[in-house]
Amino acid sequence: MNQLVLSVKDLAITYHSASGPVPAVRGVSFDLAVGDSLGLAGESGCGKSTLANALLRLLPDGTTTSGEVMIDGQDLFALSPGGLRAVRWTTGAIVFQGALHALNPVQTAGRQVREPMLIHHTVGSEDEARVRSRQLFERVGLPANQLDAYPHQLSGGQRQRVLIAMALACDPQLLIADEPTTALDLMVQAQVLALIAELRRESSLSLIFITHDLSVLTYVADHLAIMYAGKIVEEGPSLSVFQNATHPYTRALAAAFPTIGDPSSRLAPSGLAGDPPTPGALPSGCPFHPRCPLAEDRCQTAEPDLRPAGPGQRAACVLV
Amino acid sequence: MLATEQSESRGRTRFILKKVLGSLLTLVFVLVFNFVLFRIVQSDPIGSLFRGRNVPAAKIADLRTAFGLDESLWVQFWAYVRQTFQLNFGISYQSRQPVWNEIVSAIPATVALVGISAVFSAVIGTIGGVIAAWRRNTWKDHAITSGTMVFYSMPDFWLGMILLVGFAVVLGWFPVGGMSDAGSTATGLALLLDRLHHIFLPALTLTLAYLGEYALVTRSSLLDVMGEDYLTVARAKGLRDVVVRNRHAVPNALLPVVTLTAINFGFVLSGAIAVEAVFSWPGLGKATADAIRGPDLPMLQGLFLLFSAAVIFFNLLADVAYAWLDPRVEGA
Repeated sequence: MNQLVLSVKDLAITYHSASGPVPAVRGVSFDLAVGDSLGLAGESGCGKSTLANALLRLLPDGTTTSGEVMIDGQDLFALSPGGLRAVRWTTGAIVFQGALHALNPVQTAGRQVREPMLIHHTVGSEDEARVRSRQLFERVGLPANQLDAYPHQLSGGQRQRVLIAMALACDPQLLIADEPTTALDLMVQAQVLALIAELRRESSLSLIFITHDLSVLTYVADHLAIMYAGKIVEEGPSLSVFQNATHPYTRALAAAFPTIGDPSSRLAPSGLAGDPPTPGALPSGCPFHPRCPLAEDRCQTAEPDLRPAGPGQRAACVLV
Repeated sequence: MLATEQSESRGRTRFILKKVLGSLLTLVFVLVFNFVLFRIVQSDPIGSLFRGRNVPAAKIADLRTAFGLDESLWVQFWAYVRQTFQLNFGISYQSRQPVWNEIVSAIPATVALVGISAVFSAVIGTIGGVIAAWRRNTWKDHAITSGTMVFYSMPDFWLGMILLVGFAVVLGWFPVGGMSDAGSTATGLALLLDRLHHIFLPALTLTLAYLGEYALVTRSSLLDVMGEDYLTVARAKGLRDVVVRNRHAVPNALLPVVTLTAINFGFVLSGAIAVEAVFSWPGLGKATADAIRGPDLPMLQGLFLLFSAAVIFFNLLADVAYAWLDPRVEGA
């Protein structure tokens, strides 16, 4: 077995709001070997972004976490503040969503790309940082003159590329991409995906790719984990999860996207009725049962654990 | 790069030109308004000159001609505009000196007092606001927020009176008023110390009175910025908390504070009327209070024009500073 860059065991994360505790992630475990890629998918509110932020301990103060996260062999929750800062961006870096205000609006793109190199002393001087940021811009397909541009002068796709260049600044072992293609138009989305896939082929970069778009994941991720209500409900090799989904939720998610080359699926997209449950008020038993077309009586009482559902595949459903 | 830089600087130049033009228009409006206002208020300038004493009608008619009051409003208006540009604001009723000379001699005292207070209140208030926001809902936040709120909600002249009674009258630590000891012939360092001794209480009053606004505006502005994603990004990069705050949060949060500071400086000249009167500080504020008591209408007319011009000028300065600091301002 390859060396693990990330090992997550029984990670649970609870926010504390004015109206009570909100369990956003309820016991998630997975391993990520060097060079591997994992796609995390689910509807908004399923806890996937919370999970991403937890991997660098970026959750707001007062959030409760339990379980264990080993990043590059170090116990994340036992790190000192200095140790934590040393891990951030050099071991694991996050590609944030460019549509959001992930870039400081009053600093140039170049300055923000150079910043982590200078903080972590991965370059010897400001000049070296400039040279490296120019290389990074070239790498992500941005003209060097845009180093001097302010975020508002860039398009959505360009901002996303800046965020990717920024994440690569200190040559991290692990890249966590949190919805990097959301809110980009289809062509730009494809370009950004191709870029991420290319970066992975070139190096031993490990990747966690988070999205609500299942079809995107089969392109960049070897493994898929489908999340629902703060838990992984199905996981396995991408293609088999996508094509032979066993959990009714995965099937609904897969069916929600039209299949390219099959016009009938475009004409009759099958949606999933209802909304995902609020983390503060989960239904009893399997949290998916109120929306599940196959729900039985027993689904209302007991929440199933992950169980084998095919070669390398596991699902948390009593029907498999 | 050249293309963006050029279009950016062109955008900013256009923005600043627009603001300068707007300021000039406002100034013209103020000039006209100042004339109209005092034509409405001042029904009988000659009568107020003599304050009800018995004066022969022929003498009054002569004076009316001499002051140009028998001319039409248009002629009077053009004379007013012409003389304003010559910095001729007429003669003060009270001192019989040219209004302009009176104003010029009162400016240094006000600039010293209000300038010092404005700088101190801006610096201390902003730092307080930053601490309160960054440590929100802690005892520091509660102490700063409620403390500044108390001073902010107090009328400044009332606060001044309390300090005056407490520290000057009862304790006798500070002089009760004025800018220097009567008949003092001190020079050099002794003079400076004497001035500082006199300025302390009025400056403290104004600093405390303005502190709250800065602290509260900074706090709420920084709290807004603290919700921004780029701060999470900055933390994710491995920056120290204090670097995240000083490099990414505070500069962005201070943009509205810069505007506030510039606008407050606009009121520096006029804002201290009550406090200067309380401490008998011989500046523009006290001159205004004295002129109102008269009423010394030429003096008031001159002061109003000056105060308006100061507010307009510092507003312009605020806009220019904003365009300089925030790259997003482009011909907005």
